[in-house]
Amino acid sequence: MARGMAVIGSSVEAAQAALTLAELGIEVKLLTPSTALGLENPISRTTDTSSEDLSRIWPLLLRTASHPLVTVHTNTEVRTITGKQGKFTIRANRNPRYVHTDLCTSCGRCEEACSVKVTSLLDGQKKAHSAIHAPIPSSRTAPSAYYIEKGAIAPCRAACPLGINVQGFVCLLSKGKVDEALGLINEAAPLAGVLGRVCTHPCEDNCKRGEVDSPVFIRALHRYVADHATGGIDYRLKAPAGSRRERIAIVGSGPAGLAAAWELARRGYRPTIFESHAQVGGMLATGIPRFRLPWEVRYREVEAIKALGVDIMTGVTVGRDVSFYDLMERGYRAFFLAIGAHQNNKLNIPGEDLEGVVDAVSLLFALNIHVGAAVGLNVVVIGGGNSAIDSARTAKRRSKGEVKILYRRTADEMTAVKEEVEETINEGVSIEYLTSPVEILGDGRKVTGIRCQRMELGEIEADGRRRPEPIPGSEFTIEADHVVIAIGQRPNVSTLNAKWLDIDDATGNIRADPLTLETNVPGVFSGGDCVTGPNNVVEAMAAGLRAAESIDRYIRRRDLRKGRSLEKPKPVDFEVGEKDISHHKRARMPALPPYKRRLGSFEEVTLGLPADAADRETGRCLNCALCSECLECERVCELGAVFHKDNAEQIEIGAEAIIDFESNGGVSESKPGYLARDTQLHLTKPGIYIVQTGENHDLERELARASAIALEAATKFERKEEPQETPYIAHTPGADLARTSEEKELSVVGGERIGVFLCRCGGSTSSVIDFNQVINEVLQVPGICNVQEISQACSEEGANWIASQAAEWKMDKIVLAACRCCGLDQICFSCTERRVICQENLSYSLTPLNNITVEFVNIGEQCAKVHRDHPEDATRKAVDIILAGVARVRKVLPSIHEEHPVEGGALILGAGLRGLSAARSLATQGYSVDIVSGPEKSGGREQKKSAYRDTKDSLLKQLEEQGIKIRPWPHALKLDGPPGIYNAELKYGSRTSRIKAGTVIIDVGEREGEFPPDSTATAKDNLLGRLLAPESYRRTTGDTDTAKLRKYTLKETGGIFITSRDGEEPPEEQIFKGAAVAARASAYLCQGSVSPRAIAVTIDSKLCRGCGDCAAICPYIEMKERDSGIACAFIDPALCLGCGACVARCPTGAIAQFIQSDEQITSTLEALLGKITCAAGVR
Amino acid sequence: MSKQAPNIVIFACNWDGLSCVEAASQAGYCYPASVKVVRVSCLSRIHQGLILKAFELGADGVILLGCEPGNCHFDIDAGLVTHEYENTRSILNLLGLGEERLVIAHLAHGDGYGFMKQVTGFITEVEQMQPAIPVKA
Repeated sequence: MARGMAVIGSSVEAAQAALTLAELGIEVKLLTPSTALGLENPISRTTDTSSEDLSRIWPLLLRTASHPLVTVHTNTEVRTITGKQGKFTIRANRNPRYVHTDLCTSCGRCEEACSVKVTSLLDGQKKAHSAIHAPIPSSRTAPSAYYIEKGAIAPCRAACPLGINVQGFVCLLSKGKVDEALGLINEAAPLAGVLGRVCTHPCEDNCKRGEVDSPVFIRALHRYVADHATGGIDYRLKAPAGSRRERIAIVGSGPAGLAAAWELARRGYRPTIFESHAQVGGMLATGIPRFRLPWEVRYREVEAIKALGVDIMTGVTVGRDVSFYDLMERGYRAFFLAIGAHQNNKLNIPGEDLEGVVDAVSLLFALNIHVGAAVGLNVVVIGGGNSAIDSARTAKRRSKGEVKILYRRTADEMTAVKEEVEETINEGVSIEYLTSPVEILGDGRKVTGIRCQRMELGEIEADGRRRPEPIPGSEFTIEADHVVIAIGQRPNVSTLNAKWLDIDDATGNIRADPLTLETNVPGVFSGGDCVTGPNNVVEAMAAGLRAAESIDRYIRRRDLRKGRSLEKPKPVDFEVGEKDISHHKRARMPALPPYKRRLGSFEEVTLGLPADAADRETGRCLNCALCSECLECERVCELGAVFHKDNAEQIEIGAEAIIDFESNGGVSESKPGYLARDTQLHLTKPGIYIVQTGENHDLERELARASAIALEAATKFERKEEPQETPYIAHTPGADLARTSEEKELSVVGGERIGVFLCRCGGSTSSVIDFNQVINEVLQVPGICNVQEISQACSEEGANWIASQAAEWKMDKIVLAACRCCGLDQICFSCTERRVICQENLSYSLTPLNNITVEFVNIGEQCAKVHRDHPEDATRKAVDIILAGVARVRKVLPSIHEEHPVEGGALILGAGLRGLSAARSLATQGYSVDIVSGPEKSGGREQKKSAYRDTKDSLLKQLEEQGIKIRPWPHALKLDGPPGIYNAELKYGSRTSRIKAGTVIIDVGEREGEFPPDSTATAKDNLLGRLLAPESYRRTTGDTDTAKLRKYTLKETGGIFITSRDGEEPPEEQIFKGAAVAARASAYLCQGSVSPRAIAVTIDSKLCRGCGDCAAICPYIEMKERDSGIACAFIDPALCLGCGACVARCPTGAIAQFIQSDEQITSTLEALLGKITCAAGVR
Repeated sequence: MSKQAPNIVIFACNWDGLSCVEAASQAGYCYPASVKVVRVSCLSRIHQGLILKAFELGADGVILLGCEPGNCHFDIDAGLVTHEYENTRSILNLLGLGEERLVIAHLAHGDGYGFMKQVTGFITEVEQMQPAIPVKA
């Protein structure tokens, strides 16, 4: 059911319109695509309103965001509006913010934890900030909740077949969080130590840094994490171990098999791996030489996987030692065939069967496992892949002679990892490029040499590489006593003894669905090299993980395909060219010097990056994706406000009428339901107001227009809806929380049970200030009944807890050391959203407990944050600040809670366009309106025809139709009375008229009027006279830019509104400015009652000696004559603004301010200057 | 902060004055803990008695931090505060403390940087002054 109105827009004006409506008692939904109010751009980078202006009208935004009738929907983009007046449905997209606006207290802990640094242009200046940040970094906003800037994922992460969050772990490592980094890697995949050494690193190949200088050395960092994590390998389970009883057989313990077993075990299964060799690891054990992947690394990883509940049976060849049928009999429900590719391809040239010709797999296996295997003196390796390189390097370590590689293409086409090729050359292996064997020569029994031919590169082949073609007549012979053929392998499927399995005849690979890895037999899956042909570790592991997913689905009888795709995620669009990136050299991997890689040594060649190099290397990451999703922010947030899983969602919002500031840029065309608009304020169809921002962005003008529009919309809205005549009374939290139901009450303070609460602010203050020390010291103060710490005082729970503690400990006074700096009900420029919420929640929670006085002290912005570089000093000062609060709370003077009703309509003095326009708006709303035209100017009425004249005549006509007459300025005019029940006395010769009014509007900009009126027309014996007296006139009409904006930013309690004096403004502008004044006046009348500010003064007539010093500086103070004839100063507290200037000037101390009395200020000084000690107590 | 860092009392008006203190904190600045901020509604609330009290209690310097002329939230005539300020300075001279221990700063709204400049500059100045003569034993 649609209720209330909706305001769409991100501008300050939209906020003003929402606030105007709310103050008129209408429920408002404020929909903004941006992250906070007043920010034009959803990404919060640029604002139409300058940050200076934003800070000048800051309280307005804060009042809007915290008004109980306003619901702010941030990150919300309106798509369509349907329905009709009174029953609109707005459909919008809520874009993810990743932070709960209700829970986040903007304590900033996440920002500290975030390791991503983003540079933004803020107000023309480059500023670095974290990926999680306040809507405007290091500035206040409303709402204040943080926001995570996320792009798509980083190219490195997108490229990883395993989906490892590369940027995330690099980020964590940059903060020295090695264990967390390993945890993040192990979320996606096991075998970190293996991958960190032998991965073919597609991540690095896609690293954007590579476009600047060279890619981040990700593999080395991966290894660093695996080697330096202190906590060991601790795989997190997704389901309780052993929770799934179905048995699964995995054939082969290579990377594919291990990855599948790992993933299945994490899902609660207990899979069994059958390995035909004695060593676990497949190619990791038999194919990759130990000097690249030490056995200890593999053992460690395998043990961690076993610990998850994976059984590994070595020395068992499935198909020979145990048949598939046997396994099924034993209850195995699914199979994963990951047998790899161990059978070598043949060269198919003469001499291949000579003694001394071996294949790479056998050679590597023999040399890796059996230490004593012999190697010739003249070894020639044929091939250009990783196994060729590995064979050559291994052979080199066993041979006292030469090792040579023959490759038919050039270095560029080699499929082996570049770094490894370099190492091979370093180790003294020579490579003959563009060379192909034609025949292996022998002496009939043993190999003696190879006849080769030179090649050249021809046409580009299907695989993208150029085809090598023989150069005729280039044949030559080289010597060899040991030839290793390393031109690729194929799976050896025959051992499986599975005739039912579909095999590709050409390649010998097992046929499996590329996505699900299911073979032709349901329940039998296959992946890794045996499906793809020889590939690399990371692809094999990816297949293992995919198989595990399929097997899990198969067992749970779920669709194997649904929601899955082989498509790589789309990486973020990151243009290196647009950024200003300085060059930094890629780290070099330290390696054993070549002399240490001598004969017989299988020591690991690469040594791993040292800590400082690793740290520097993390700093080279460009953080292309902004947020890295390392999830540290989620971990540090004590409130659980951060949630990375936030998704965009469709929301529907009902509204009876809509004011739209957003379609300015032409958005409306895309919103069905909207009609075209052409004027500044256009009613496109009944109930929808579209507002276009003016070309020259004059903030005050725009604010005026927004309130005028809101008032107009509200007027129509209420008319149609038959408004409930219960005006909403804005919830203004009491300054003194001891407010009671009685109208007038003096709450005299004199108890001695003070409770002190320390807010940890989610850990941000307590990380600087030593709370234990503060508690111990403050507890010694006599009269303090308890000192307690609380995580978040501003939350609702926090407030309730404080209230419950206050009741339990029978506290009569509370000092809350948090971020609020006063207990006043004003929202000033220094206030923040959390401070307002804190006060509101606390006020609400403490209301049932009578007579508890609360004093707030700020230990955040005024202590922990600005003294964080010296925690001891900050702790010392926190104690002083609290003692000052304790001293002040003891000295709170009795306060008067007096409520004036607001009655009647409006009295308008001055009949300029603004005054008349205000009168029309108020009359339209049904308020009684009296207009008195200003004191006549010499020259009188402007007769000549002008736009001004025409507008005025038309307004006068409309007012006449509404039955409103305009009185001339009287001979004498007196205006008095408490705000809200003003009483005007107009003397026309002998005749006197009296007018009662709730509010008074003075249009000092009336062209024909003479403002200020000459002194004969006004006398100082009444409020109006004093306000319009020449000496205070300028002050009260305040026409400075600041004063103009202040009218919108701060709440009015006096009920007297004075318009601008500028008579030359265009007529239409004067009209809406008049309406804006009417909007404020309506809001004032709507309140129903008004009470003085907590900071208002009272004057003790017994002490006043009538000097009049106070009245000389304040138009609200009146010098009255006593019966004795002696003058006495008098003020209505409701009128008092609370500056305290009169207090400072009063020679007798007759003027008292409840808050900030001399005594309180002095106590504050004493405490802050260390003159009050805890043990001695507070005076 | 060294233990000898001078005690600076800042009477900050609640409006533009305090907004500068807040802005400095939000911008991530740090200043010594010996700088004590006392919030008042308006600088016109401060009279010489309170300023002298601060000195009596051990302040080495006092800053009156308020709005720029014409920007007063209460539209108080700037002359009122200036008058009190001048008067107090002459009393400080009379007492032998030296008028330069009291300064007035009118900063634009939310000028955290200006606040830091004012505070650090004043600390340096006060450090170079002769130790304050104890007014009271």
